Amino acid sequence: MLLPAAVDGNSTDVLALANLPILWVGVGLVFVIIAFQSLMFYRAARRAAPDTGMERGDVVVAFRSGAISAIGPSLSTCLVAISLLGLLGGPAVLTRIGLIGSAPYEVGAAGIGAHALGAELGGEGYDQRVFATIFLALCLAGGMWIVFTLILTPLMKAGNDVLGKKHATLLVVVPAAAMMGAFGIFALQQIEVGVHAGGSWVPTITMVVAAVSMIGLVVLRRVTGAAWLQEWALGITLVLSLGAAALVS
Amino acid sequence: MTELISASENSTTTSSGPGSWERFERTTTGWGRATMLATLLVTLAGPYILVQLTGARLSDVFTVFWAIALAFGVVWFVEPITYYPMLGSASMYQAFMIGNISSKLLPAALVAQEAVGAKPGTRKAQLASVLAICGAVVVHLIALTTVVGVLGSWLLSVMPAFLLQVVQTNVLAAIIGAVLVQMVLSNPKPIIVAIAAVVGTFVIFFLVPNAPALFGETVGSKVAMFGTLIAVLLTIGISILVAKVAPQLLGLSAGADAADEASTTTPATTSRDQH
Repeated sequence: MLLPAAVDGNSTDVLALANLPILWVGVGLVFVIIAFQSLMFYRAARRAAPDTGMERGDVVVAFRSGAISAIGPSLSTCLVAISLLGLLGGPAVLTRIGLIGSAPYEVGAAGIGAHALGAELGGEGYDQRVFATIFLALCLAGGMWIVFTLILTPLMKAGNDVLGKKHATLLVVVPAAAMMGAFGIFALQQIEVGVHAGGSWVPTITMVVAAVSMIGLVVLRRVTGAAWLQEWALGITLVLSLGAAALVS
Repeated sequence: MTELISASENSTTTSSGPGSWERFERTTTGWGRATMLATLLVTLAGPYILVQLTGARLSDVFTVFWAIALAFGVVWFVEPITYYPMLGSASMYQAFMIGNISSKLLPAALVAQEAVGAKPGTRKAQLASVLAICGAVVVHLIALTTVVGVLGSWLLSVMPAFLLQVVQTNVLAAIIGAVLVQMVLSNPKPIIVAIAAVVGTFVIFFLVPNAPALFGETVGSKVAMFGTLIAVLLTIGISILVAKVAPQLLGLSAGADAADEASTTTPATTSRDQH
């Protein structure tokens, strides 16, 4: 197969496996599929526009406003994605965090997955086999979003919003509790690394610097009202906290 | 939620030719489904090959999958339900392939709707959101290719080994610190934060270290591996209990109408910040 020399399940050179050419082919295909979808949707929307009271000019205006307002968030996503390249490799970062998913959810899911295998992401026990296992599980889990979207969209279009009505409280409480629970325990695990004999406090320091930077940026945004600060908050925070990590390491 | 949809149907059937709209819906639904399924297959094929190459076990993959499903599975259907009223059916097929919905696509769609003067929920607004997401896709694909694909790979190759090591071992801690603060500040439910903190401390500093002594070596090591999952499930369970017993603590009004009120207002305003 392609580059079999790089493949060894027990090797901790995860990036050699994570950047196999065959995976980059997959990334290319995903890009092409999404670009093709956009082209079909653009043509369909342009054709339907006149009958909905939308003028030709408005079609361009809508497209352009979408493009312009995506620049900030898009670059911010890129910055987060780059910081994860060394951990997950290009293809996984591009297809899970750059496209389809989002950093907090995928990182949370990967963390849970690594622990279930008795490993640490980027740390103890993180070998090629663990990476492959987690990567496929992440794609299966991310695929569920696609499956549910395909099932629920026609149902909701038909006005069948039974689920949303009947279990409204659960729909608000459970996701909030799940994310809080997961990230709460991730935070405590970072501290636990320091508590251990011979452990390092660097992750804890990084985390605290990140938290403080984020609080600072949110306060700054509320004071100045600068919307771009919100888009860039996560990116700036990562740069500051990883800088601090490099200083104390 | 349903009000928005039905309003859109009423306000638009009079103002447009149904034929062209039906064609738009048929095209977007057909290609939307086909492209989504194709993406699903392509994204599964790559990692499946890796699993085969490394000799990883499919049973492990499913263990990890179920762990993720138990913790986050509810988000799989909550998000489509939440975003549908804001995006409309056509944009749903775009949004869940492109990702980063709340931080990138929703703002882009809202800005475009305002720019063309489309009222939320109307067909014009749905078209504006489709077009805006097309624009966002162009920008995003270019940015990903140049910034992450080219610049990112170059950065990795020139970065000193020491710095790369620092980033690798600490990037998770950095993201955790930042996201935790964002979650608490953007969606403040102090009681859930408190529950998560207490449960987490209990699991990490008591349950996991003492598990072998309490339950024996075999079960004890399992407890350690699934500590995160146990904590998440406990947090969810206790939060549901609090929601049932004392909904006012979560800012929900008591009784049966709490459900209705939450379904029309809360998901749209609170869950928007989650993803």
